[in-house]
Amino acid sequence: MIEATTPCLPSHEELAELVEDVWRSFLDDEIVVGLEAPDDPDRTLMVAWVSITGEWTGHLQVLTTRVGAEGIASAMFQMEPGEVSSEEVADAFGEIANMVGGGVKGMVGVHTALSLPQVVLDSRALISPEAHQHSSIHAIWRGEPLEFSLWERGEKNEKTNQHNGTAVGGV
Amino acid sequence: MRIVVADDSTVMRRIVIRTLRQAGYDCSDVIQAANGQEAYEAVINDDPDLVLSDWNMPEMTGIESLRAIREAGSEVLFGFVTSEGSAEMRAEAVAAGAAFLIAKPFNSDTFRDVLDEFVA
Repeated sequence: MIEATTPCLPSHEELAELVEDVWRSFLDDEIVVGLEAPDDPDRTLMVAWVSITGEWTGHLQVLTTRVGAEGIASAMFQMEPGEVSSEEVADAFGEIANMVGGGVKGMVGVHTALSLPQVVLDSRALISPEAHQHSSIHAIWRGEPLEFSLWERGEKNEKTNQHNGTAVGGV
Repeated sequence: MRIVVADDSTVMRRIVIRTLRQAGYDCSDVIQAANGQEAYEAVINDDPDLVLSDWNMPEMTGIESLRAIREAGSEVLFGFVTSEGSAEMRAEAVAAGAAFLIAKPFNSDTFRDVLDEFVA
């Protein structure tokens, strides 16, 4: 039974060790873990996370690029990067968050529950992997970009009705 | 040997089967289950020799599945393969009738170390 009463969160080094263990075991590769974020703000990022709730509450989140997530999925499925589907990328990437999050949960040392992993394949669109973009418009306001996009869950439906109107031009 | 591998992650089911094979176990008759309910039905309908199950799954969790299996009278060899391996969970697993709990990540040595005690 758990005896600790104060949550004990993993250090950077311990978190890195959890990640390195997962990579060695399931991707058959080494990973270099550091503290500095890469300076590349224009990347499309994918997000996977699990929530830990209870006497301590938090989230273990993983971010990577689409190329990175495809690489993870292809290594875990033992397929070529171009062969993995979006569902397989989401499945594998979510499992990475699940395994590292499970390790963190075990280290926290107080009574908690782990959620199922959640995955968003494009952090610009916080929606499910099954959705497709129906339309989008872009704007600049006070020098900052804005994007409004409409997404539809499920298979793309060619019969979806669309309102008639003036086409939106470039901004 | 008929084995049920239960995990809601497709890639994790593949990795478990791959690791079983690498560890030298017969994987010619494997039934895959995507949640605890499917694992329960596989045990009732297909009389496996071994169940390797994730803990945290939608529809029915692994521990709920194990309890339902035992309530149905099955004594099938049941072990967890899960991302969580706390002492509390191990105790809960054993109390429900599990033989072992393997924490992810694992490799073929881990499987052999645990399974050789139970599988001929």
